Amino acid sequence: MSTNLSDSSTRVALVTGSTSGIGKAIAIKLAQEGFAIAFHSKSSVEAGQLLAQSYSNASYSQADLSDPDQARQLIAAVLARHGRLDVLVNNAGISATIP
Amino acid sequence: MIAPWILVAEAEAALRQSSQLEQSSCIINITSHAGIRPKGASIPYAATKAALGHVTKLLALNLAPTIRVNGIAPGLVNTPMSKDWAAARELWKTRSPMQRGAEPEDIAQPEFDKSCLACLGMNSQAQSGCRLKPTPTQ
Repeated sequence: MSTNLSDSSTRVALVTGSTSGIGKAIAIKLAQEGFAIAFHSKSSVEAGQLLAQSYSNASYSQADLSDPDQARQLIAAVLARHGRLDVLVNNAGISATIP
Repeated sequence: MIAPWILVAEAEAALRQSSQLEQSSCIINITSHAGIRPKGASIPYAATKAALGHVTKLLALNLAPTIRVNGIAPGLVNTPMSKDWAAARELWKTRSPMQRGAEPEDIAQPEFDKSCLACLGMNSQAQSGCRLKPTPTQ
C-alpha cells in the first residue's frame, strides 16, 4: 500500500544523509524553494521524522546505504510515497575519523 | 561511491520521466575538496571522493541532456562530522581568510537557485557541459 503525499505537479527531491550537516541544509533550502523533500538517514530516525513533519509533502526513510538492497529499496520507497523524483542529492557520507 | 551509483541507477527512469525541457531533473553528488587535492584526509576517504568526482563527470556526459549531473566539493564544513577535529578547527582560525570554517548553509545557498541549478561548471546551463567533451583531434 503506497501513499502519495504530493500532487503530481510538486517537484520531489531526495537528499541522502539529510538529518544533519550539509544534507540537512540542502534539504531545507530545497524545501524553501517549493520541493517536496524525501529526507533520509542511516540512524537518526527521530530527527528524520521530525523534519518530515516540519515541511509540507515531506517524508522520511531510514536506510543503510552500505547495503545495496536497502539503497534500492530507498528509491522504491520514495517513488511509492511521492510518485515522482526530480532531484537526487547524493550527500550521505561515511567517516567517523578525520577525512 | 557504490551507494550513489546504485541510487542513480535505480532513480534514472523516474528522473527521466519527470524531466522537462525548461526544468530538467538533476543529480547532485557531494564530493570533497579532499578528493581534488592531497590533504590531511584519510586515503580511502579522499580516493573515494575523487572517484565520485570522476563518476559525476561521466554521468553528466551520459545522462545529458535529460538529466543534469553536478558535483559540489566542499572543504571543511562546520558539521557534526567535523565537530571533534580539533587540529582542523585550529587551522580554520589561523589559515582561513574568513577565520572560520564553512557553515552547511554556505554549501547549500549559492549552489541552488529556484530550479535547483547547480553551477560548478560540469553540466550546468552556463557551461552546458562543454568542458566534458573531448576536443576534436586535429
